[in-house]
Order: sequence, then structure tokens, then C-alpha cells
Amino acid sequence: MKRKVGISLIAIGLTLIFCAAALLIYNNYESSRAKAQADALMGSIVDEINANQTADIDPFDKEMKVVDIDGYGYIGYISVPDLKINLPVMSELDQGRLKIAPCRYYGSSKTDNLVIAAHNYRSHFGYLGKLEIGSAISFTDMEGEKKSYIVTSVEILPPSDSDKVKDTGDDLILYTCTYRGVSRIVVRCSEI
Amino acid sequence: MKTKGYARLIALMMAFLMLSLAFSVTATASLSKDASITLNIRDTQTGVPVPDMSFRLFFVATAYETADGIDFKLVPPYGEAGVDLKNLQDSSLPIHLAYFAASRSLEFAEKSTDKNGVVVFDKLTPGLYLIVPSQAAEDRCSVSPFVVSVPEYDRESKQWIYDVSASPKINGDINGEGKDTYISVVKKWETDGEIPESITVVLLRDFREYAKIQLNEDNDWYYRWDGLSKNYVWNVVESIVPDGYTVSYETSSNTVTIINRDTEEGTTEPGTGPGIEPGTEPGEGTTRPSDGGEDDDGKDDLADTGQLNWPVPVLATAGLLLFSIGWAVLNLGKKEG
Repeated sequence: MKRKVGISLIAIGLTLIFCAAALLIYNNYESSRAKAQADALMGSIVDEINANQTADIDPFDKEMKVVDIDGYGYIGYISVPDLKINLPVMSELDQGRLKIAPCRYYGSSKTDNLVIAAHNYRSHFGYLGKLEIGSAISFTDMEGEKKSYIVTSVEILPPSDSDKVKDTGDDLILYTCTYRGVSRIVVRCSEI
Repeated sequence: MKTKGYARLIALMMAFLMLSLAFSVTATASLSKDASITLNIRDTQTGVPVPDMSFRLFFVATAYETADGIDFKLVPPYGEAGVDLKNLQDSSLPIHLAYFAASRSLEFAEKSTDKNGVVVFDKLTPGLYLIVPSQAAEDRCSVSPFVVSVPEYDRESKQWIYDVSASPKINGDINGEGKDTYISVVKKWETDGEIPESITVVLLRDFREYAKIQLNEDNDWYYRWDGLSKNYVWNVVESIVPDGYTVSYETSSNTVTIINRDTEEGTTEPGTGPGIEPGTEPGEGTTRPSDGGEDDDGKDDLADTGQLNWPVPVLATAGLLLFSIGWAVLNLGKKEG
């Protein structure tokens, strides 16, 4: 009887360990795939920006230029030197797009209220919580206009606090999920 | 004694009333100075001034100063347009207003650019203005309709600027290489009350009416126009916004979602506008600028951006624990055996 119980427990334990390993491998695969996709896209984004830079920039146009690449619209790219990331930013947000690149959640860099959301993949915003006040961040739009920011605060918010990221007076806000996914790490930035 | 008490109470109430009135006056002080709007039209590619280009100016709303800045009140008949002026950056707003003004043949002022590509509309009442390029019947519309509010507040000098300039973009020649595109339109109601049986949606080609369709339950509030030439700019607008509702538009790839909200709910979330430029490719169906889900109040949540990481340590720990217990039980059984 004890033999049967022992073997059953070992079998269940091994199954759980296998599931954990499979999930870990899948998550790592997703993260690596996202990194490869973002890296590949960055080349196209920079090419498009270089091509657009010859056109006149209309200072009264508050709409961000959206460039279509592979069927998705992009508004520029974000650089966070402390996290060693350069990532394209999509114009719209949904779960499918988040698997490829960070997405605009709200606002515009031209009206200084841009909010960018990204997955907590290691290659995306996974280490966002490690940023410190004063860390440098930059965003370059598809017309080649680069804006530089510094981090002014790093905080944790519940998902329902969307009004605390929209039109808050912060020039740029980045956010992603915490490790458990129940809260959001929110990084507020000020233009310099 | 009792009369004195009543007199004091009345005096106190009067004072309170006077103070309230004073506050309400300062909170909605009207802006009375004459304003002007100067348009500077230049070819986007070459920078050369564009002369003899006519623009129509429509007076949409009066402006008044509030404690937070500036606010607008729609003038008749624009109150029937079903728009919410909380988000002037919404690119769908001028297109909807332009269709509304054209369909009702509303009053406008018209002027043309001079040899320097400049046109000035002066002696204007402070407010919100819709500016639409005049179009001959077969002319391409080279500038999209847009709205300008005068005065503007200059944060640096902390002063109102009554003479506002704008340089609208000129749409370049579109070469769609003969290819076709499509537009899907979806109707969404945000109300707890009864909804109309149907609404009419207008397809605009270069901001002019091109086709109409009725959306209702029979077609699941959905329609798709196919075979649209990429040589034109295509938009859709709701023909008449039902009473008690405001309209907003959300665009994803080639799908436009027309949203009617109860006016009691008030707020209009920023949209991405109904405009679809030629050359856009089909995406993955309907998406929203913010796809974080909504709670019971209709407020967006922050998007779910988390990988499913937390089960990894939980599963691994539980697995190791069960494996260890199983191993111990097995060994105990062996020893006893």
C-alpha cells in the first residue's frame, strides 16, 4: 500500500516539475522570440525614420506619424540605456501586438503625455523596476524627432488605476506587469 | 428677539448667495477680445507657398475661461452634431463636424490664400472654429478639415494668445497603383437604455459623401465596403447622431468602430479618428488604443502585460515536495517490508 502511495506521489511530483520546466522553457522561448522580432524591426524603423527625415515637420501637427511595417503601425522607438534596450513602439495596443513590441497605451510624444506599455519579457520591460530616479530614457518618433527624459519616479499601481497614468503632467510614462502579474510597475519621466 | 434671529439668518443666506455668484462668474469668465486665425499654406514637399487656395471657416463653439483653462459651448445648431469637445486632438472630430456642416449647408466665411500662401480670418469671437478647404466638384481635397481654438494659452508667458497661426499639412498626390482597399464599420452602443432600430453611416471619399448604409440588428451592426481605390482618402461618419448620445470613432487598421454613448455619461475617450490613409494593410481585426479591458464603470484598466511566470516556482516547489514525500514513503515501505 505504502509503495503505491509513494510511487503515486513521486509521479505527481515529477509531473508538476515537468510542467514548471515546460512553462519556464516556453516563457524563455517567448522572450527570445520577442527580442529577435524587436531587433529585426529596429532596422526597418531606423530606415523609415531616415527616409522621413527629409520631409518638413509641421510644428502644428499634434498627430504622431504612424508608419506601417508588416501590417502594423509604428510611432517610433524607445531607448533605455540602463536596461540596454532599444525597442520599436506600436501605435495601438492589444495582446497580439504586445507579443511583438511595446505599444502606445495613451497620448502622444508631441503633446507630452505619451504612455507606453510593454510585456515583462526580459528583452522588453522585464527589468523596468530596476530603473532608478535620474535614469535616462529617450523616445524617437517616426519623423526623427528625439526627446530625452529622466526617470522621476518608479511606483507600483493596481491595474484599475488607469487615470493615474493619463494626462498626469508626466511627459512620458512606461509600465509593465509585476512578476506575479497582479500589479503594474509604473515609471514616470520628465523631459530634459 | 426672534425677528433679529431671522434677519441674521436671511443676511447670512444672502451673503452666501452673493459669494456663490461671484465664484461662478470668475469660474466662467467670458473671453471678449477679438481673435484671428492665420493659415500658412505651403507645399509639404517643396516648401513653396500655395496661392489661391480657398478655405471655409465655421464658428462651432464659443469659448469661456474656466479655473482650469478654457472650455467651449457649442453654438446652435452644432449642439445637434452629437460631438464631445473634451478631446480636441481627436482627428475624427473635424471630419464629423465638416460632414455635419456640409449636410446642413451651415453658414461660413470664405477666404483664399494670397501669393505668399497666407490667409487671415480676423475679428473673430473667441471660440472653436472648423476650417475646411473649399472643393470644386471634381477637385481632390488636399487639406484635411481641422479645428482651431482661439485664444490659445501660452504656458511660458502665462498669457492668452488671441492671434493664432496654423500650417495644415497638404495631402500629397496619392498613388495607390490601382490597388483596392476596404473599410469595415462596426457600431457599438455604450448605454443601459434603449437604442434606435438603426443608424445611417456615410462613406466619405476625399471628405465628400460617396455611399450610405444602414446598420441594424439584421446586419449585426456591421458592414464592409470592398473595392475602394487606394487613390483616395476614405472615412466614415455617422450621418445623424441619435438624440441623447455623443459619437466617437476608433480606428484599427481598416476597421472603424462608431461608438454612441449616453450624453449623461459625459466623457469621451480619446479616439484615433476615422481616417484611413490609402496604403494601410489589414491587421488583426478590431483593436483599441487601449485594450486593457474595462471595469463596470466602463473605465479602461491598465493593460495586462505579464508573462505567466508565477506558476513556475509554485509548480516546481510543489513538485519537489511531493516527490520528496513520495520518496520517503517508498523508502519507509521498503524498510518495513
